[in-house]
Amino acid sequence: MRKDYRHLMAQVALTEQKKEEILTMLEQNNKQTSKRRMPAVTKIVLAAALAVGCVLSIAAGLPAQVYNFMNGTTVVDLPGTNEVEMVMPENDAQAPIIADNGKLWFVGDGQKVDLTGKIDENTPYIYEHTDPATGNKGYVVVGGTPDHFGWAEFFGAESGAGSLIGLDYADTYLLIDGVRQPSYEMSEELVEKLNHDPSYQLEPVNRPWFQAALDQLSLDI
Amino acid sequence: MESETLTQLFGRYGDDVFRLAYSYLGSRADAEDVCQSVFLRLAESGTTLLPGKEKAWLLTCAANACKSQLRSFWRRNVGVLDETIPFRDETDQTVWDAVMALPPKYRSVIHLYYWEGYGQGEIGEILHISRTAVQTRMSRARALLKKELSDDEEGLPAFDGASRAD
Repeated sequence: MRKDYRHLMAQVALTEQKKEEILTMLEQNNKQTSKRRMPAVTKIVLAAALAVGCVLSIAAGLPAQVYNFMNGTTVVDLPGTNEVEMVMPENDAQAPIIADNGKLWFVGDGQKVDLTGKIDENTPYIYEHTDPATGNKGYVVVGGTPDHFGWAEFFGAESGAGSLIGLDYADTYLLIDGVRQPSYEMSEELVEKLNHDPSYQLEPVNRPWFQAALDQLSLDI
Repeated sequence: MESETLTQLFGRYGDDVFRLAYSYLGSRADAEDVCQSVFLRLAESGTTLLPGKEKAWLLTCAANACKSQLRSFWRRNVGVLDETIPFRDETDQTVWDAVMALPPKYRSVIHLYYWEGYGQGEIGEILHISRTAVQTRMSRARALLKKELSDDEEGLPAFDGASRAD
């Protein structure tokens, strides 16, 4: 049955005309919303959204979980759904790490700390804080180099619920013949294979500094 | 979400979203609408997806959109455009007819299992149902398919009942 089903579904695809139509709509939508987008350095990854949604869908009836991140972003997990609401600050959200003239700075909670020489690809800087509105304990982790740095901020609860925002704290890889290939180096042919062969599985891998932070905090994300 | 990334995601997963929607709804026009709405929603949300989880997120959105379609007053009371995709041979059409004779909630499980190759746990996460529910739906779908296909007078095609370990 699998073979028969795969044979027939291989014939099912969007028409080129429809693909063009959708691409055009996406590009137009992007132009309309570009003024509201955050600058690249503060793009936010709602990394825990899917997992949290699953947890809350099981724990239906619980009140919504609210997470107030240090940069002013608020995430609300809607109980019983797989969705979150994210409210950005009116002024662009500030990433907790900035690079300036080859130096790296931690910025947040009214502080500006020079991290130059104190963090690298293997060494994180961890800042712990408490959300005064909810009492949730949160962590900001930054790491990397002035040319390639990243950050993540997360809250976790004993129930398993939690939320995380961040940028460039993980890379994705594909295991081919025992060799890991980063997704950003994949050829179009390989991408096509990924699309049609479910035996290929992309693997997100935490960057060493982020994993070191999780190890220090005894957390698993 | 950056336009380039969104475009890349659409190029990579657009057909997968469309296939799930088509298997769910059985109408090309409706499946196209779902596919379009999923990617527009992603564009408007500004969300950047967890690396490695993009496809699962998109398929979850597609499944949710299909469920909404099936629940909609318009679809229930007015009906759908009978716009199907012609298959190359009779066997394909026979299998498709048998799949479309299943309740929609069984079709999605069959599609995610046979086409996408997901395990029961992953299907449960995408459809927001328990692993037990996945097993139940899979079992019933297989039984119905077996009956449907073995009853076919043309004798097309034999159902092998093959199972894949999770």
